[in-house]
Amino acid sequence: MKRCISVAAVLCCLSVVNTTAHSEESSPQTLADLIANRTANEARTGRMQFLLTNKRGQERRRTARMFHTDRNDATRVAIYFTAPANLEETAFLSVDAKHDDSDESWLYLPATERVRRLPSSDRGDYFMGTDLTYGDIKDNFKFSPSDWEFENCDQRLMRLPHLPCLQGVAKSNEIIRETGYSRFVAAIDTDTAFPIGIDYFDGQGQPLKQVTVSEQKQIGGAWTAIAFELKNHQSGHTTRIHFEEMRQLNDLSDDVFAADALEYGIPEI
Amino acid sequence: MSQLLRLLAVCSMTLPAGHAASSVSSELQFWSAHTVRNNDQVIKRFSIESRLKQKLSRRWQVQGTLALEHAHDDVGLGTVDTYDRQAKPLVSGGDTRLELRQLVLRYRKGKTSFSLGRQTFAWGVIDGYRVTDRLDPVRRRDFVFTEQKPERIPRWSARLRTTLEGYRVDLALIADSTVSQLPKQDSALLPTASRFTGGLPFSPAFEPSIELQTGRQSLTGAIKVSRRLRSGMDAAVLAFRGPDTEPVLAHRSGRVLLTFPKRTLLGGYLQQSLGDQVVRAEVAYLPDQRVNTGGGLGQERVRRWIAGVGADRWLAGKWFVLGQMTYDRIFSTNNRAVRPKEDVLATLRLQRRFLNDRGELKFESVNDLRKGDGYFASSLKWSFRQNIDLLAGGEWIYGADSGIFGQFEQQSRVWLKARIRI
Repeated sequence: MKRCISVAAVLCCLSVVNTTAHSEESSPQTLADLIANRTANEARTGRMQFLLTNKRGQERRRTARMFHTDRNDATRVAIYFTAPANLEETAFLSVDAKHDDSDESWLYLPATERVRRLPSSDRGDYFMGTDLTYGDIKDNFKFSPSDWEFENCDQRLMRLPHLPCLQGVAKSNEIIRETGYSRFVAAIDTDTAFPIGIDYFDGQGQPLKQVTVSEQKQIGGAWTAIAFELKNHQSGHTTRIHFEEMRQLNDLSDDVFAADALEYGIPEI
Repeated sequence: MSQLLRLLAVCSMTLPAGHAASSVSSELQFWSAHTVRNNDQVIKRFSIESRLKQKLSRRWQVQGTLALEHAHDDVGLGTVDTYDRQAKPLVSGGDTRLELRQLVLRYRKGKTSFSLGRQTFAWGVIDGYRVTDRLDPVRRRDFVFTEQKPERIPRWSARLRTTLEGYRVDLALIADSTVSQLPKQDSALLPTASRFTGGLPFSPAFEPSIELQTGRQSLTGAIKVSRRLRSGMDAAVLAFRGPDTEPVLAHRSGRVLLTFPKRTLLGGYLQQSLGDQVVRAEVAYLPDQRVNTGGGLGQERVRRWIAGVGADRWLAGKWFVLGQMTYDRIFSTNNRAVRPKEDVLATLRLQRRFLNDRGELKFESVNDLRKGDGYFASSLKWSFRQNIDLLAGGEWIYGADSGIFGQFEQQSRVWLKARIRI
């Protein structure tokens, strides 16, 4: 009997120790730092497969080649559509400056035969008919401390309760206006420092969008989302994105992100 | 030689799509338009356009577009007399036409690209109204009532683009005397305003011949140098000299001719992002522009300035708005030019996409502020399936008969288009 009590006591202690450890490991700031410090490729490329489904189940597919760099001065993304036929050769470039507001967006439409400079979109604007916002692309599954106040999760909102959870509340109304999000709740895979299930809420606090990462892969030593789904609760529209041939690029020249180059088509790397 | 090139082009269009580095796509379009005033079906046009892109090696690729069109209506497909002999449609009979729209062999290495073939040069930053964007001839069979403005006509040419010390250099040599395509004589969109008839009163019997430049006179040389300035502003200067793509009328040996004398254009533009908007300014100077003067199809060489400013931005509700003003002025010594001394055009365009880009709504208003004529256009596009678009729209044209747009007042219309991509 004594022995049983001892075992129970040890188990109990272990349980307390474990809970304490889990709690420390999962404190909001610790989780936020873990994600923010996640190693990212400076430059990478991959083929993107989009599957867009509306609430009636009608599907549209798109294929594009993506180039992405994340450097000290700016985040640059170039996307060259290769299918379907009406989007073929359409190319989009965005340069998001990190230290000032000199953001740039460029679009090449083969029908106009001209590379056109566009007014920069709000971070909350949706990209080319998908459920991905320009802000989502720029943030790359990270949560900027300048945008969010990190908190403990509201347990009722946790979609994946077996995983540590991070909640962010927009720091200001300006951030809500820019991003379209007032709050998020994210389930974190601490092994990869990736938020693999994120629920976003709109300015009125209503559920807006659900992001689910279904496949991660190490590309050049950095964990990258290879397959993920974005479901808009309000429109019923879903976007599934799958990357193929994803690879890290060493010494990728900024020339790849020159606006004039969009007209030439996919750069040879 | 031209027959050989055409044959090669047609053969290239039939290359198998299964090749790893090739892409072939086709688009079928049906367009029907009825005038608002008397419900005449003025446009009944069917077209198939096939595009091929073939990678020949890491650095070389060939790209071509072949278009088959059939029209049985009051507008028609436009004249082919304005095409250079080497650039005429492969088949052009009655209501049907098979045309090689584009055929370009391109080499690219790093920052340098060289292309040879039938191609276009979309220079300038102002939309719709051509300030410096005057290298390409354009289709005028639908005047300006088209989705894309302008509808460019490619010409046989060589082009070199490279970067030198941060300056982007674009050089072109065009060896093709094709000029802007005109509507046929019996077209509902044949210009009748006196500024387009050399000052002569319009009559259905008025049928000038077209006199294209030949030999060395048909060559056009062009250069554009552009650079990103430290402030983030894009700046460019450009110059070209060659036959005008727009006609000036002449009277010779008892015949009325549309002639295309050489002219020079010097110009430049600036483009800058300012917060959530992009602003643009563009200017062109033509020191030797020929214009018609009143009385017996006289001609005068005048100085011409064209300038344009514009801005576009996102508005609340995800509306995209473009506002633009262009000013086109000639400096005539005897003040007898048939065209007005000044044209001032204002453009306002609003467009919005909705339901994840399945639908697009567009409104456009273009006004000649001097004459008070113009048009208002609207359209709705709906992507019915992945590869099918349905479009509906219309143009309401207003103003006096002598105006750029007012001359087509009777042609206000509504239309439907269906587009299928394969």
